[in-house]
Order: sequence, then C-alpha cells, then structure tokens
Amino acid sequence: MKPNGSICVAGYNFTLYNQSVCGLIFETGFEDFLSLETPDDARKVYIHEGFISFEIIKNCYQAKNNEQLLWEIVDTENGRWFLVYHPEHSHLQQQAQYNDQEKTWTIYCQRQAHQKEEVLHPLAYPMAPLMWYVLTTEEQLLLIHASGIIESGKGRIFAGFSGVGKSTMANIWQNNGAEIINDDRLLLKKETNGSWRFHNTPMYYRAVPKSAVLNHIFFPFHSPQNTIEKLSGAKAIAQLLAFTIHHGYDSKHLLHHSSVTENLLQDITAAKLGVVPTSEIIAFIKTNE
Amino acid sequence: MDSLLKEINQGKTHFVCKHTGEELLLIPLKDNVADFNQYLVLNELGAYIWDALHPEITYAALQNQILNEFEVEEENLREDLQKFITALYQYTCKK
Repeated sequence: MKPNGSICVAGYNFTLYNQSVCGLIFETGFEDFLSLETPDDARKVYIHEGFISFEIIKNCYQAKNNEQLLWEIVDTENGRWFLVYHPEHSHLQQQAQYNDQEKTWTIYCQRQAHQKEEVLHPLAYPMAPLMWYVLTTEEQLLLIHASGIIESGKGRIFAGFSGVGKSTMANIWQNNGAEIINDDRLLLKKETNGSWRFHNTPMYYRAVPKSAVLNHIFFPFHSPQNTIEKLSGAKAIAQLLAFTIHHGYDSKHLLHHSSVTENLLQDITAAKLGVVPTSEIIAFIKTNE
Repeated sequence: MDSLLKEINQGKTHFVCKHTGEELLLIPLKDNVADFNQYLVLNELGAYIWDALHPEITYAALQNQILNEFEVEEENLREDLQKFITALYQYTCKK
C-alpha cells in the first residue's frame, strides 16, 4: 500500500495512508508541514471513512474545555480508543486508536463537503494536538504552553497559561529584532546530538516549520517591577511540568515527562520572571539570566 | 501516630513521586489529573520517610530506622518527626 504523503513535526514524521476514496483536507496551518516524501522511520497513520461501532466497557478519561467535551478515552472489546469531538458543536469527529508497539494510528472520520468535493478531515482539531501529545509520552519531548523567540543565536521561551504575557513578551522581543518561533505552543525536543531545541507545531493559521536552540526558560508573571528568581531542583521541575501538557489517563506519562523535564533542566536554566511589559525587560533578562 | 502513618501510606497512591537528587517531588493527582498548584518538595530526610512508609510500619520502627540511618539526636528527632508526620498527614489526607 502506497502512502499519500507525510507530516513532519519537530523532526518526527507521520506517513498518511488514505484508505478511502475521498480526498483529504487539513487545516491551513498544516500546509507547510505536509510533504509528498514518505520517510521509512515514520509513524503510520491509516485513515478510514465512516465510524465503526463498538461496545464501550469503560470510560477512562475525559478532556474538557470548561464543560465542553473535547475528547475521551474509552476501553472497548476492541482495545482502547480515543473519541474526539468537534470543539464547538460537540459531535463525534474522529475515532482513533494508537498501537504503541507498531507506532501506528488508525483514524476513522466521516466525509464532509468541501468546495464541491466530499473529503475527510482526519486531523481536525483537537485530533492533531492529541497525536503530538502521545508522541511526547514516547520520546524525549515536551509539549508546552509557551512562546519562544530566537535572537543572536540564543533561544528563550516564556512558559505560562493564557494571560501571563507570553505573546506580549514575544512581541517585545520581535520589535527588538528577535524572530518568533511561536507565541503559544511549542515542542521541546532533545536532539540526537544531545542539545535541546524548541519547535513550532501546526496551528490554525499558516506558519512555516521553525525551530531554535533552547538556552533559557522563563516563567513570566505580571509585576510592578522586573524581577528574576532562578529555580533549581524539584521546584524547577514542578514549575516546568505545570506548563507542559499532560493528560491524566496514565500516571506513567507524568513520570516520563518528569524524567524528561529533569533531564532538560540539567542543561537549561529556568527562572521565574516578574515582568513590566516594556522593552526594558530585554536588557534586564540579558543582564540577569 | 501509627494510625496517621497508615493513612498516609494509603494516600500514597494519589501522588506521582519523582526523586531528583536528594529531593523528592510529590505531585497530587485529583480525579486522575496532576495538580501542580499543590506539589510538595521533600528534602533528603523527608524523602527517606516517604519511601520507608509501608502498610505494617509503626511510628517506633520508623523512628529507629531513621536513628540508624541519619546522625540525629533522638530527642530532636522525636519532636520533629511528630510534627512532620502530622504535617504530611494534613497534606496527603486532608486536602
């Protein structure tokens, strides 16, 4: 069976095998991550049309955005499945199963009309970030809520939840000559040469794949003056883990992520950063990091 | 104290534990989700006590174990250990 192409995220390839007669569509943000190449070392993604029926034996986990169910994990007579729902309309969007032995995804989704064609949209949000998450449970990789910039060969990320100033920090640095890798979500990856880099992932808007070497991690918060508190040991691990993405259905994942975090913090400095959002923060960081 | 130890030990399954250097990071799980707002870092002795807890351990046995393992005065240990076990019980079982 010939693959139809592949997606490359943070250097990890996913080859796509369309098992239906319909074409495939992807969100705009995937355009520059898609390729016709089909690398041998890739994870495989088999895409089928329609849904299959199975009896749910146990509900294992539900991921919600406020009260909205985004996806859930269920055990069935046919193994463990992810049921992924439309983020606004709540209808079932994908049924997906991951075989961790063969590193293979099987995704079922229904055809939909798109520009006078019937197509499948197999990785429609939140399916794709779920796949990146599963990747982090197997690799030296963390998915984190953070903005990241590169300036004069030095990469810095600013981790935190909405409202702490991730985008503001990225924009301040950009206005002073830095390049933004992404201002919301990043993958932190230990490369084969032992260095750490941060990578963007496909978003809802178009952006080319970017990455940068990781030198410093900051946890910004609003403050009446610029302050810095360097972190180390278990406190630094807990702080970084707090902003990485975990799904609670398997505590082994959290243990894996905590080991990856510990490993990362042996090489990379981390600090809490009180921020007044003006360009003076740049000189403050460079002096004190 | 023995009953507190028993309850703390039973509550251990609700935590993800990560040893790092001499410290131990405890992350509580609530409804299967890690609560990073409530994490606790134990120092070397705290980590030793946490690891030493098992269903049959008694307060006296734990105290003896610590006296054998660490250079501490028995009187100081008795007072500090009681405080620590009480605080650990509050943290693990009363949240």
